[in-house]
Amino acid sequence: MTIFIHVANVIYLGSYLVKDILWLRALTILGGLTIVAYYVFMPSPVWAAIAWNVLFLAINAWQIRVLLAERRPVVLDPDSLELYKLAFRSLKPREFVKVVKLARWTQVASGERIVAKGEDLDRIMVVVSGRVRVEPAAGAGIELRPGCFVGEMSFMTGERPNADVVAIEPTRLVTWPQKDLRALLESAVELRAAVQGVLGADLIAKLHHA
Amino acid sequence: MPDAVGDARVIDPRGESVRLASLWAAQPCMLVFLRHFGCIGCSEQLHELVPRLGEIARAGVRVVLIGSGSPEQRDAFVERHLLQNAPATVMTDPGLDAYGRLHFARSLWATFGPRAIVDAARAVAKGHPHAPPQGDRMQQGGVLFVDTRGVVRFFHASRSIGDHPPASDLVAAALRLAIETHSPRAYV
Repeated sequence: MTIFIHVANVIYLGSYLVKDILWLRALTILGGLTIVAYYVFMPSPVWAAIAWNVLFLAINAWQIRVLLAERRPVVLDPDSLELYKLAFRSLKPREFVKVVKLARWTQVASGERIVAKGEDLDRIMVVVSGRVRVEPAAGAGIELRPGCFVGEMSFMTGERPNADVVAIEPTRLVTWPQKDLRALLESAVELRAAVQGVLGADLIAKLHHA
Repeated sequence: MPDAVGDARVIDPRGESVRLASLWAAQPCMLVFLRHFGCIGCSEQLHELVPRLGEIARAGVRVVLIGSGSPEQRDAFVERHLLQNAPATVMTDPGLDAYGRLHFARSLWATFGPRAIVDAARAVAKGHPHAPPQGDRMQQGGVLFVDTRGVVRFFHASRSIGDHPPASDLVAAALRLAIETHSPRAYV
């Protein structure tokens, strides 16, 4: 019976020597199963030790599932892929998936107003196809094409827009509720930095163009 | 910004003494007051901040890092953190003139207290090397954004060696400042 102890500890030793966390967990499970077998086949099984080891096995199995899911290549559907290429190329695909999960695709007709001057704006948008025009109180309008954000200044400052935004042809938009996007970004440091880079680049280009 | 703060003097990379207020005269400025140039918390702070300096500079904000060591220690710091070509100027305030006028913390507790110990352990775990003090060991830092009118738009005073604002907060402050500075006709 003591052979189980030796085998389990050799496997644990192997787990301490690998650097990859997935292999470490896999070997730990193997070692754990061996040690559980030892406790089970003892003349009088040690149920407390068995219970603790089964708990450790379950935790490691769950973490392996998470690791495998994280390592699986990301496959984007055609709509998401188009959005990624248009506006989010600088994000890692897995980061982008978190952002796109909160998104809604909407179609607006030509002439439809999508942002009203002076009213609270609770969403942020990207033009996917078509064109929209930003219409300030004075001066010429500014046309936004696919890939441009709408509402990013309000998103960053919390201020109400001072211009209308109107679709000038049938337009497809992707929208995020500001509150949901903010909550997601607050919970993920790297994602926040990446999305901030995307929004910042769009914003600075607009400010230089204005 | 009180005039007394703007009148503080720091030493620029050429070794000349400059008025703090001159740093934000032409464009908005982010002043990052580090501790001493060997500070492990500052190393951690720069590791996060340096890759984002371009975003802050593109928003039209001048970046000035200020430490408390000698000009020679400043030069070594610039080399160590590969700041030669970064969009930032590194200056020093060995007399702690600006630190004092800004009322940044300077205490044994902030440097060696429980929070500082946790901060140092976190920085070591991230691989930042501990180095001998190169400047005032007790002095804590802070970050402020000042616009061209001398109005402080963001202020953070560090309570311990690793208490620095996230780089994303600083980029967000720079972008907000860019919007306000340009006052675009269309603000959406």
